[in-house]
Amino acid sequence: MATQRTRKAKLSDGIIKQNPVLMSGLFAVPVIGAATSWETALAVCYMFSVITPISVGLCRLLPKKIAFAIRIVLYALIASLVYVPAVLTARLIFPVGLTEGISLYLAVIVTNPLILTKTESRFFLRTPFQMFKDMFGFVIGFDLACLLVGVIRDVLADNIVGHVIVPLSFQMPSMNTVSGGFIMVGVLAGLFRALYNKFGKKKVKRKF
Amino acid sequence: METVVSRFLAAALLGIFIENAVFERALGISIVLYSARKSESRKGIFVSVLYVTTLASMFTCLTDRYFSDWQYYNILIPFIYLFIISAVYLLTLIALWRFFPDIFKKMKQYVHLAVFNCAVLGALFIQSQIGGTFASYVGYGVGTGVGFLLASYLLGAASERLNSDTVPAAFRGMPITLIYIGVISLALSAFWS
Repeated sequence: MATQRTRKAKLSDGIIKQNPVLMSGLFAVPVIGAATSWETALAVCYMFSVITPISVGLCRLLPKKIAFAIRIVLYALIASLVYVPAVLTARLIFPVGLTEGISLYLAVIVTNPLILTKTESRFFLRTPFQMFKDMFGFVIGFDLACLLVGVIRDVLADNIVGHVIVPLSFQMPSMNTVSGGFIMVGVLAGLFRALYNKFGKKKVKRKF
Repeated sequence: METVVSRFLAAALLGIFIENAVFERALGISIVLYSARKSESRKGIFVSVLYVTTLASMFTCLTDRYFSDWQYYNILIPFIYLFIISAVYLLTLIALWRFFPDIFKKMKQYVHLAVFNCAVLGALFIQSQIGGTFASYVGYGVGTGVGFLLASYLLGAASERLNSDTVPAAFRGMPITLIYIGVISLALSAFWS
């Protein structure tokens, strides 16, 4: 039987089967709290896509002899240092005030489970190439889910996406709130699982 | 003395209800879901969150007071706060290992999940944005922990119904739980506004 280390990583695992937002609910905090429009969703995607792979890559360089309790601390501190250039570049890329408005949710990306728990339980069990391939699957899965939620919330709350007006006969201002985010992600997660059950290879087991 | 107590209580109530980390800010969802499923570890997780947010807030109050004028402080807040959280975590683990080995053995499986998560870091971040005195920082830390316990119990109480066969299979578990949290969050927001 192939070991975890030699088994090839599938990009589709993180995008579909184990999507960190819509399937496992591993890290939905910034999607629920900050992705209220396509712009803020894009900012969250940028920060997540920069911080996570770089942090995991740097964490892999740490010696395994270090005690687990200290390794976890180092993972978190490394991610918080990677946050610094990420947020500085984000402030250059995105409109003034956008990243400041969602600074709480961008900061908590440094404690995302992909860096603190999945590293030990999954990524570090693979070769470096397979690890990055696997991780990019999760990053792409998160980004797609985040953008989808941001665009839908934008449409439902303000009937507009960027400069494109969507002619709906109703508006749902609560989609701009955290409550609306919970409900939106919950509904999308259920629909995503239903589609996966119908068209995917295996049934999804009931799990959080 | 009365002012200190009133500020502490006001901040604690803010942390429990109006700025509840889970319902109002969506922080710490994964750890809340974990503790709702595993009732035997719920007490340990609650104590860990309460302990770290309260103790760490004492130090973050000092860093906010003396370093907030530094131009790079806002960018380095995650690092500074995580450094404080890490110091509290490691020193406490060492003390538990040395003096209470039975408790250490029980808690070591999940204590890192309870300490290094969005709820703890986010709560310190929110308090930094709100500002206030030392008493309000500590009160908010206590309120965050109690609010977390409230969220965990509400979810634990409903978990059997949320995972029952009456819920469509695709929605069972995480999706319906998020919708449930959203409805509670909506009700709390309407009530407090």
